[in-house]
Amino acid sequence: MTAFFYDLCYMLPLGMAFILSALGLGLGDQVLVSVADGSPMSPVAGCVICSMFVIIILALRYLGKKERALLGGILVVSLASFWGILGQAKREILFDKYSWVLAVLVISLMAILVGRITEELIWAKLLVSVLLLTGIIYMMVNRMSCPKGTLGCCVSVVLIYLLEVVQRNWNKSGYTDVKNHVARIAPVIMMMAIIVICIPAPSEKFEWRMAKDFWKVAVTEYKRLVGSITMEKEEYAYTGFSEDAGVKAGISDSGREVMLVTSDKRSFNRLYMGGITYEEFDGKKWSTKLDSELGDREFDFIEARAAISKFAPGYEYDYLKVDNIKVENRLLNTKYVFAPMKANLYSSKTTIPNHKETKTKIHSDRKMKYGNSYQIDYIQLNYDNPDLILAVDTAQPIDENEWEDVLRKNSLAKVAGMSFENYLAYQDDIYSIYGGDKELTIEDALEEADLSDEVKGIVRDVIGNDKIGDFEKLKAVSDYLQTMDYTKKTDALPKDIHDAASYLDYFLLESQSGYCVHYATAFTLLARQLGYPARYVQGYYVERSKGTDIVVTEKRAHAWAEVYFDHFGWLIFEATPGYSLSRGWAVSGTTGDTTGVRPHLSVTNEPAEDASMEELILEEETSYGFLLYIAIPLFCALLFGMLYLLISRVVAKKKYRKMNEEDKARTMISKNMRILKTLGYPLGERVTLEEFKKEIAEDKELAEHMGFIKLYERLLYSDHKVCATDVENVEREYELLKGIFKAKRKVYYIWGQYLM
Amino acid sequence: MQKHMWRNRIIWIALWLLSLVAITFYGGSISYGFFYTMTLIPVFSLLYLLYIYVFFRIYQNTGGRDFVVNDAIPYSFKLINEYHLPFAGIKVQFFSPFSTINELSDQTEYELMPGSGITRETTLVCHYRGDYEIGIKEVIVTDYFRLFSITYKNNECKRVTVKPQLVRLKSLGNVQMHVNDSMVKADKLDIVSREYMLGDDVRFINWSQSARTGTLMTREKIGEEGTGVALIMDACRYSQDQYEYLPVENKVLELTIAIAMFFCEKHIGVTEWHVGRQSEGLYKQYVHSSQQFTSFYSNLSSVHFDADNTQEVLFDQLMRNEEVLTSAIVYMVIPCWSPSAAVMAEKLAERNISTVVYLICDEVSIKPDVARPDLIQMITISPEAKLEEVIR
Repeated sequence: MTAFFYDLCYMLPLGMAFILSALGLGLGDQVLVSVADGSPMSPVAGCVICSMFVIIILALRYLGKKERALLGGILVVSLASFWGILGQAKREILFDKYSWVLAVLVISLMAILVGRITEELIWAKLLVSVLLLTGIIYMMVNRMSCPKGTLGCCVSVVLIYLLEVVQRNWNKSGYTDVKNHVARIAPVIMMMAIIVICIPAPSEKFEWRMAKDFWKVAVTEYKRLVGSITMEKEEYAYTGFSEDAGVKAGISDSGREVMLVTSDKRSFNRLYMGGITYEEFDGKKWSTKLDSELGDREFDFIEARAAISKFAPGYEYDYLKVDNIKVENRLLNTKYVFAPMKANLYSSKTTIPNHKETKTKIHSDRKMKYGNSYQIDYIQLNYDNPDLILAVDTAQPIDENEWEDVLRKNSLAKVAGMSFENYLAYQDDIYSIYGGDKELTIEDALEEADLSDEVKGIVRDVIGNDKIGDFEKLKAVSDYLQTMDYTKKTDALPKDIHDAASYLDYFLLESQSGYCVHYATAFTLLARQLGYPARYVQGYYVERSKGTDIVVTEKRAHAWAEVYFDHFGWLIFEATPGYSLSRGWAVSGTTGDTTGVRPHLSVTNEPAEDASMEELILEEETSYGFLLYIAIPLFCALLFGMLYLLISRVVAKKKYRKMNEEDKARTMISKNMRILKTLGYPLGERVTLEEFKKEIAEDKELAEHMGFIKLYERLLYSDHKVCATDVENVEREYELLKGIFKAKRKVYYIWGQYLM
Repeated sequence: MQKHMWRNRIIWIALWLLSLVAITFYGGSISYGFFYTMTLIPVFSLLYLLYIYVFFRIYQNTGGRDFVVNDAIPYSFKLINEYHLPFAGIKVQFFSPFSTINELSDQTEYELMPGSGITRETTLVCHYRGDYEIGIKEVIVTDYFRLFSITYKNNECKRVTVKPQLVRLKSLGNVQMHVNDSMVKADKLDIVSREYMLGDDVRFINWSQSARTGTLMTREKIGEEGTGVALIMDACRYSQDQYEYLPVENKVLELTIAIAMFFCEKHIGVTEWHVGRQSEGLYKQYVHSSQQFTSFYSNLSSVHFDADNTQEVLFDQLMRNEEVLTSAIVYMVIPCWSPSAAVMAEKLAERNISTVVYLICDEVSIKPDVARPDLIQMITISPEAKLEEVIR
């Protein structure tokens, strides 16, 4: 039994590994398929057939002569009867449908052969294990699909081999049969392999989220600690590159972290975090006189919401959405609160502690330390929606009722200063503060602009005649500027530049290169010349790579232009080469399409093919006669078994009668020894008969019938001549032992008596 | 074993780390299956060890109940696996150094198949007098991959009480003070006869009575017990650590008994003194005959050493006892030399009584600071020394 199970624990997983590997390596498309319909073999069916085959072959190898003949006969008879009751037509159909069974048997036979060759050669087992491991590693590296069953079987073989190696190299006392040990422990290994097969294996690589989160927390805490120790006392960074907003000759920046922006929804990929706006330019630098005037961000917020509600009622989400971000200060030693455009500072989700809002900035009353944070609600525009341009260009004035309605919807009705009158005053102020002329078209404004002819020519060429709306024309200008060269190493501005026109002449005609300050300045000035109020903004350009948290470094300091569109509000224009506005999101419908329903992709069902004749025949069989194909072979096998046992018994008795006394005694002794073995007293290899007798003496019931052992000793070691009395005695003891056997092993006795 | 185990562990750790690398760079069944396998290997090994811990059985047997120091007694143990999985590696660790199992190494590893057992029969020798555990102390079980092992205490230890060894001394060594019959003040009054016992002096055989009764009879003096030789034993426990106090106490008792036996064989009466249990007072035993010696040996075997039985208590009570101060010679068996002992020796010297001090300790030499050094002799004996070798 030990040898049987030892072989089984190698050959069974090996056979299944071969079958499943054959499936994985493509044989499943060629060999392990049904000839009839090309359907592939079921892995489970393949493994079951392989297991049965391996067990039968091993049983035939290790059973005694009688049992071997019986098993072999039963198999042949049952298969022959099965084959016989199938008609010629059904045989062909069955052969075609289950043609893969032959391939499975061949592969299983290969596994048995490999197992047989490696049985006594530990190095051959090593070779097989290495080959199996190499195979699965090859499949892993080449990202080939591998059934988990294959892996489980390979793992079983390799682990059982390792178990055997460990046992062989282990110097132990007591019972140290390595094969027996391996056979007994193998079920534990196989159980482990089954668990491995059952645990789900994700197809994605492991992301180590917990470890990464832990690392992130550790790094953050470390930086917080270092930051709290090393943060400079003086205001370090202002609103981008500098506080004075001058157009300088070259800039430098560092990788110092200034803030951490977190958006749980990951709803943007680029965000402009404004710090301060400027409205006046003297040719060399920007400045502001609005620092003490009250802020008006809420008007911008409400105006955009009202415009979209009016333009596409029910589809506001296609154009804009309100998002919330959290900003955590790092090493930016500042009082400025950085916020996106169209921020709602009165939202319930907005939390900026102790701040003051002016037209140009939001200012905290004390410097923010490392880790100080605030949250802001803001409007995000969907630049991917082509209708947004139309919404901007065609924004209509809103009346007082509409204003109040939007205020209510956005919980700003109770905020002081948000009256409709104040909104109208806000609109009027914009043109006086930020330039532009609402009465002129872009083309007319360009004609009247205080620009050189060359610059006018360039702008005229850029906006062309094919642009439909003003937004598109201004976008064309920013796109044109983006085609220029970006460099941080710029020369100082010439001394003769003293106003917007001279700056634009220099920048557009001579320099044609610079960094964000140059481009934002140029666009702001051009937009004003084209009749639109525009302002220059300094802040940070936040770009998401992945994840919800974005660390913003000093390198992201940026300047950009914002242009005011009547009845819609301020919009960012990006003129700096290499920078772009945030992408938007998919729209649910188009303007005027009130249903918002997209056409469904209809799936046309292919007409089912007519069932083949083979399937019909088999289906017919399965409905009533399939059980017969099992019952009849089983009956034949049972009949054969009974006949075999009956005949063998008759033959044995006849043969026994013809034996001489000594042979009779030997036969009966052999039978008695078999009974003892069945009852748990096998004769060990190095055990003498005397020792064996002593061992059995522990069982008083058996000890009384051990007289035959003495006779056995005499037969083995002396020239004792067996007499009839000896035979009678041993026969009598056989009957008595049989009685004990029957009493102790009732079930096994029915079977065992025929074999003894 | 440790070498193999560490090698296997390192291989496993390396493979486990590789599996981590695999799942970090590759998804899918192979990388994760490899990782699961490497993770499950130790889990299964530990479960297997737990299984052995629960189901493994040990039976121990010792031949007899009377244990005497350095006597080899039959000892056997049986390791049994009555369940379904083989026990891959079992090692048994024996109690030491108090006892020794002969012919068996505790480095031997045993394997037990289901339904089998291993029996080992040998002898066991106890080295010290006292009450302690012998046989299998701990069991070390190792898993089938030789990755882990757990060591646990044998729950069925055998506890035995071991009597001190009887050492027959030919002399008392280089003792300058000689002892003879005259030192024993036993008189010749009340002479009675009793049956002769092995070891009795042949000079005292009462031949006429023997002839009359047909049994060999001997005379015995039962008059006033002699106080010629006084034997003082310190029964104080100087440590809480069994490894420290057991060898010392064993040697104190062994020497006390050996001296008593020495005089007993010479038919010189010896009076032994020690402080009884919980300082209940001085305990005195007079030994003269072999019968008395048997009783004396039995009593001394069960002497309870106690931390309260200090030398101060012992000598304070002895100095108030006139009997000791009238002895011809005093033998002290003590583990250390204390001021109380010095005072006692001084007092004995004042009365011109010789004192022999056997100091059971590892210190090389101690010179007592007394007025009459000629009357005191000090012999240091190591707790691990063999009396027959050091006292010749």
